[in-house]
Amino acid sequence: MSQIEHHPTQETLLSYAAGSLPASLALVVGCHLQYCQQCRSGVSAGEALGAGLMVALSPQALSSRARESVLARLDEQGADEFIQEPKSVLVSRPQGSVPRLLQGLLQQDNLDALPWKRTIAPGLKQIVLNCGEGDVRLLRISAGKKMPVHSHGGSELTMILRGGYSDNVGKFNMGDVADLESSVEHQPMADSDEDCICLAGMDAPLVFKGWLARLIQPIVGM
Amino acid sequence: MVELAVEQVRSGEFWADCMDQIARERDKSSFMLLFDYFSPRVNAYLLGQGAEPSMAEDLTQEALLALWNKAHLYNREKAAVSTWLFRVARNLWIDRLRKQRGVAYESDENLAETVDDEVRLNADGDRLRAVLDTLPQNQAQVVYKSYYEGKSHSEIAEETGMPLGSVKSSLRLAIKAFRQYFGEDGV
Repeated sequence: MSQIEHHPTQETLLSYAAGSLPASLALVVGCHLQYCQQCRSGVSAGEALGAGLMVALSPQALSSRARESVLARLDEQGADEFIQEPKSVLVSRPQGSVPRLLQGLLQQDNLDALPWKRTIAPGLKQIVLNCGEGDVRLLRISAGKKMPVHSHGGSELTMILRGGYSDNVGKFNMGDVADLESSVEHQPMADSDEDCICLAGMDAPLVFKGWLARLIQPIVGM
Repeated sequence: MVELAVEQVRSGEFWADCMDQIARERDKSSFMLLFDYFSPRVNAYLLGQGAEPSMAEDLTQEALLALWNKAHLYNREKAAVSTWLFRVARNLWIDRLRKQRGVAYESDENLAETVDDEVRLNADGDRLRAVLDTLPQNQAQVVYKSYYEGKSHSEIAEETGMPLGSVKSSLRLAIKAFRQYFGEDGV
């Protein structure tokens, strides 16, 4: 299994740590973190910065009632709560499986069992997921096929779940994340030996319209 | 009780010792030291994220109680107490105010295990604040909006009129500046 080579940018990790990425983008980051220690460290550094900034805020005291009520609640907790050992949650690399957070959303751990829908682009199937904020979808590019040339109006993060693709930016394999500047135009081509399945998160719908228009444009023009 | 006008400055080690005391002896006085120092700051953070005052107060109590209830999971080698508390507070507001984002974060139960490397920010709040004040205005603004207002890159671009690419590069430069002040492990 190859190493992860492409990561979310530092500013993406910072915003994830701050809790300020829309759910669609944050989901892709969260899935990547499961497999990437380097980015987990980046996020925890962002959290340390967040903690410092939180501590630096002008204190806003709670009511004295709140203090008493917390004090009163200290004895409430059952002793059994303290015996639980933390679950070990980290696994090293994806093994063709679905990242834990995505499994939570899909209620499913088999990508082949999902109801893939054809798109107007040949060789491209997709499933639109509902995460409630921004646009998130699974894309399946048939082995050896090219996506239409497109750029991204807003922010887009794409993580490879299976297979791989190449474009002018580089070669992307399982676990890699493409975090492209919106100006970058690219045309991913799936590896020839198997379909490439990606999780793609995009910004708010308004931005997505632009992305869709750009995606469709070259096809309509064909 | 006499209110002290000037708050005593405590080190990260001090707060980690408090957590050890809680884990080992269920020591309430250690907890109340943590509570009195951190709760007004967590409260300020949540108010900044747009929580109503009564909700901010509820969530702050919950966040601090998590320190008490999960003290046995705290590992001082892995995170400062303030960082742990920041994660808990952030996850609480995500659960309550920005529910959709819950899909993207592991549960608090896993917090203790999610970082393999020690990452320390060798800076207290005052020093961080001082660095923030030295940053060019647009860099300080994007950091401020990301952390204190929970705004995404696109939202910041929309609000400030900066191009999206500039929002991202400003954040990148701010991270670099924080790193220079606080060391590679810092940010």
